[in-house]
Amino acid sequence: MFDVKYDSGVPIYLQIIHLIRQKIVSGEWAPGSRVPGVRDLAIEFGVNPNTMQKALSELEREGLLYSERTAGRFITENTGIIDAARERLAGQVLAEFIKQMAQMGFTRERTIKLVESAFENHAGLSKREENS
Amino acid sequence: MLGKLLKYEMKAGARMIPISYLATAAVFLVGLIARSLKIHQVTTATTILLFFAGIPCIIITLIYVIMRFHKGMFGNEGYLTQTLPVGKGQLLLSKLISSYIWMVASAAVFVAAWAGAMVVSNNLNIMPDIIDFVFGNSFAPLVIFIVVSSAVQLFAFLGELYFAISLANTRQFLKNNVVFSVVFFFVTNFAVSLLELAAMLLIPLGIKFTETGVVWTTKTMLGDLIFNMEAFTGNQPLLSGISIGVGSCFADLAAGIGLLLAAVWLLNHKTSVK
Amino acid sequence: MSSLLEIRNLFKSYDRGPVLKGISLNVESGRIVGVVGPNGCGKTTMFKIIAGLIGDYQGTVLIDGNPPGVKSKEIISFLPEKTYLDEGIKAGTAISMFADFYKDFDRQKALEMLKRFNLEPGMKLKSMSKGMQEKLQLILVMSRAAKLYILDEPLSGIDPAARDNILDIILNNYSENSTVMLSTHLIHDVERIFDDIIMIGNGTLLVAESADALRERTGKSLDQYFREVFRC
Repeated sequence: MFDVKYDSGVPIYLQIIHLIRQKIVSGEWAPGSRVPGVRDLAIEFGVNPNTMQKALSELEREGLLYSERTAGRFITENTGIIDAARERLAGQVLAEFIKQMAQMGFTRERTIKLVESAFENHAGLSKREENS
Repeated sequence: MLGKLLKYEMKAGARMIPISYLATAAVFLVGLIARSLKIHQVTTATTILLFFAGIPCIIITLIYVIMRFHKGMFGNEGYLTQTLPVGKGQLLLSKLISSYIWMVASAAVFVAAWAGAMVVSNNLNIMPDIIDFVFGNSFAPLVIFIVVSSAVQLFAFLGELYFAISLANTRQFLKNNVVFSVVFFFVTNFAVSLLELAAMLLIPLGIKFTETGVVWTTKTMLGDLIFNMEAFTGNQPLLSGISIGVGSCFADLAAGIGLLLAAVWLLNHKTSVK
Repeated sequence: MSSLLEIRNLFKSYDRGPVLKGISLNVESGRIVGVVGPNGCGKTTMFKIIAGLIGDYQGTVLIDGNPPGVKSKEIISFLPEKTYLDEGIKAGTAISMFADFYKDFDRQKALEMLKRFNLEPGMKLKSMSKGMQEKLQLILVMSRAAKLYILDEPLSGIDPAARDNILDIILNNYSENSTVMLSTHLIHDVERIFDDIIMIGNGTLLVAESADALRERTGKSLDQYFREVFRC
């Protein structure tokens, strides 16, 4: 219950927004499915209901969530919005990755080569797991 | 709310005081058995014990009275007591009433123990004489005075106690509240005693001892004393003509009320729980 | 709309010196407020004044428009650090007593919480560990439907595993009609549940704002900011 880690000086509502975006983008929270109530969600995330409310409102504004007055809150079925969010999230991950590789001194070409071999290793690993 | 508070106060007393009553009753029982078995050493021993048996009862009750107010209002329990949605006056009143009831009960046990001592020592035959003395017309004013005076003195005593403890828990004295409680009690007690003395001497109402018994008088005790001293010849029977002012009862009543009101004011405005 | 709790220029001195030096703050309904500060900074004194345990102070304190008194005590549920129950009392008796005195007490809820914490109604206080005693007192306080809950160090003496349980109860109890003010030393573990944060240092108010606003403003967690401010 309280195993979601919050740290740093980033406002908690922003951290929650990030976490939920990831859940939606990865499909863990399926499109069209119902979002639990603010209070239950707050307890699950181990935060204040007001903070959770703020995060959810923000996600509604982005279009990832929507409310139906009596029925509750739902994840959007608009795959376009989810894809856009996924792209943006990927962009953030990539930007951070590129920055870190550059900090370590890798050039662009070297980085791309490393990425390709990493994928091959990863694929090899998966095949071995399938065969065993 | 007052009823509920009173219930809890009485229950708290019931957890510690009746044990002493039972002990007293046990002594009485032993004495009765010894009397019927004619074991004289035991009957004598229990008779003497019974004369003193009431004292532990009163002491335990006194401890109860003090603890319920001191610990209940200002100890750790005060965090509960003083956050109840009840006025401070009601809190004080519930403790006052309960304390009064238990004190009277213990006093009754004290008297009963004495009666028990009479029974055990086979002195019942003097009972009719005692009853005559107490209820006979010639001594009625004396008895009334003793009863009323005791009742009112108990009231004043509780007032002195509650006031002293409350004062001791105000900002300036809070740090050493126990020591100051004791000091303030004795100071207050002394002050009230002076008041009692003045009232006794100066208020024109008293009981007068005469050759035929005790009667009411409306002369001041002081005046009577002076009058008697001037007329004293040495031939007069002892105690004759002496009067005791009953005005002390009014002083006690007024002091009790005043001190309790002051205590409530302190509780509302000046005291803190440590 | 007036605040649930309004404090204006609160001053309080003991013989040893001033403890609160002109505190002014407002607390609204429906918030979970963290009150933090080093030992002796005046938090407990402030709580006691609000709860009506200290009648000798200067300044204005209004709870739902009323000064500390019978009316305010009906809507305030205070959990002090101390054990205020008689040690011979049974858990069940304590619950009955609270039910007797407080109209807003939910006996059913209290008994359920007892079970959740593995406590029996028949257990006497003196046979409970310190942690269990604290849990019982917390249960009594949280089983009331009060408008203002004041919890003074509710997590001290509680083992880490049970802490989540307690924070859980606090969050579960949340309602727009009530506010929880709680003080703690364990800011790091608890700051996630605060709406607002009040920081008191040496009797004066240092911070009174929303927790996220503070994080945004300073770029630090509440715990980090606190350590900075109170670094000796």
